[in-house]
Amino acid sequence: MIKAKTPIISIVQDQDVFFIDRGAAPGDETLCRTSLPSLLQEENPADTLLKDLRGRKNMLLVIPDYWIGQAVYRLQSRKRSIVEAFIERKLTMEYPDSPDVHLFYAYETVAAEAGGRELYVYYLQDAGAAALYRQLEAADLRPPHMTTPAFLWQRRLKKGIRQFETHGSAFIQKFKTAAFMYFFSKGRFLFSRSIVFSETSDDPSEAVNALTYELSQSIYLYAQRTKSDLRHLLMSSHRADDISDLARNLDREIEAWEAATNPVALKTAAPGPIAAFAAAELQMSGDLLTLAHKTHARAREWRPVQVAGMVVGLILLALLGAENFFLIKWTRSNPMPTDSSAIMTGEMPREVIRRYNASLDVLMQEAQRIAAADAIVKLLRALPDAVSLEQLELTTRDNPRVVLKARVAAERMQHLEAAITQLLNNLSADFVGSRQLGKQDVMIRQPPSAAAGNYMLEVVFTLP
Amino acid sequence: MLHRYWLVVAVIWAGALVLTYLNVHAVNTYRQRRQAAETLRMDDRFLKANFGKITQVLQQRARLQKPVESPQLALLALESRLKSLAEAHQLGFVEISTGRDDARFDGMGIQLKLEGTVRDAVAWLNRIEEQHPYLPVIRVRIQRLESGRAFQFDVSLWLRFVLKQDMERS
Repeated sequence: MIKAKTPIISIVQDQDVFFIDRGAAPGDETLCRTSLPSLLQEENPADTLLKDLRGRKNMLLVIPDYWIGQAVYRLQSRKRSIVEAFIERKLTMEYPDSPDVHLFYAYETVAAEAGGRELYVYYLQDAGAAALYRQLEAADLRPPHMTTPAFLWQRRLKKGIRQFETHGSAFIQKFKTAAFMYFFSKGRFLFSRSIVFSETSDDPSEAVNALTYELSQSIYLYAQRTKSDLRHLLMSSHRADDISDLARNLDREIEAWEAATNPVALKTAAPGPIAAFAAAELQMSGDLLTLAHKTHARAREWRPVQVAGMVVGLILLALLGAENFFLIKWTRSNPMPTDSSAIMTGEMPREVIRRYNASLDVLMQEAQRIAAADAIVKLLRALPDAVSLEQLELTTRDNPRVVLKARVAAERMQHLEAAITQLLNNLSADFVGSRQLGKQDVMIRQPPSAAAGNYMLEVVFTLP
Repeated sequence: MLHRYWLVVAVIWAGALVLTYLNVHAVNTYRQRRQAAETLRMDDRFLKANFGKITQVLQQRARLQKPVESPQLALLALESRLKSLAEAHQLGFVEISTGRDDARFDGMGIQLKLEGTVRDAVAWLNRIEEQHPYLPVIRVRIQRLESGRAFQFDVSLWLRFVLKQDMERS
């Protein structure tokens, strides 16, 4: 069974780079230690690193506080594209000798006390940091996030101290040979200091005195930069009396702070700031301030969208695949008659019905057609006794109509009118559907050669 | 890395789209086949239920077109038939002509000039219409002759025919 290798953490301390296995037993976390200058100069950095590191994912790079610079700008816009373009332009202008300065930065926008908004920008001011990133990238150990001990303390203090985000706080971490001081203003890292004690002296008061001096200077610097006093002063020390001695020297209260129970053990003689953190704490979480390469930061922001897209897509794919499988299986088990030769024989009844419908149409048209013989008989019957046929024209197709010319023998006008009336009545009765004929439809003329009382009538009408 | 993930997302969704298309296509195909099968069943049922009526209608429709091998030959036979019919009804046969100009693939006009009484002409027309349904009368012009009771009849008929070879093909 293949066991996945646990991810690692890389830590820069003094002039060394440590690679930590977070899953290892306490005290045995250090996988590899290499010299920072030699790693930076290495042409093929993968060769210098241990085989144990190959195939591991480097989750976090912890770099010294002084590798990171910070700047505060006033900017009203909160639009991300504008803010990022502004930061990159500012950094490029202020650090023209650092071509990579615009690639690694993090920022926070907060409401300023004087109104408007302030932009807190953290960036890699040490060129060695970008160089180390590229070497790790070449060794396939590119860290997605970079942080500092100060940012790790900021996360821990934010959870442990009330009013951390509204007042000033300082934290002192004292070891036998060195001490580290971190200053925070309104929950935001301001600066850090470190002091190395003389190893030859066995008198603990000398170290406390040196720390008192350095701390007094730093508190003064803090007051100058923030125009406010520290509210909380916290201390963690290997010697319990150090806290009371320092409080007496400074004439102010100092709160004791417990260090981590199982701090990560770097294989180095001098303890560093990381010695206060357990391996489990050295991991990226939502509230840890980190810097990332611009491209990687963008990828990280899109990651939830991509993951959601993949998950939804896969679920959809599975459902659609199941549907497809079901459809294929179901259609195979339920063949239609049209799948067989029935579709061929089916053409015949369809064609017969089509011909039947067409025949019905033709027969209906035929039934409506005027029978010529019948129409002529009706026309002749419609002629009154005094009227005799002279000419008859019957058209049965394309606008059926009748042109009737007849001769009338009428001695008086009343006889003529009566004959015409009777003719029109008979025609209207026999040819149902044609428009009602009136006397205005009859053209009457008297041929010059005809005898007196002889008239020629002409009636034209359409047939239904 | 960013592009690789997008590529994976694109491939997954492209697969989903392809499957959607295939499923819709399968459903539509099945639905069309089912409709075709249903139509087929209904057609078959209708044919069985109305076989006698359909046969009758088709036969009536067939009577409206004269099956011929050659329109010219059919026309010659028809001329002869019309002449003999006219003689049988005491009608004087004056002239017969065919409207070749307005001939179509399924019909041709025939013009006749006859002389006689209206009664005989009506009987002649009646017989043509009854016995030759493929030969409808489309126009009749009756003109009294100068001589007195006799009339001249200009009759236009339309011969509806179908070529036998077309019938066999269909």
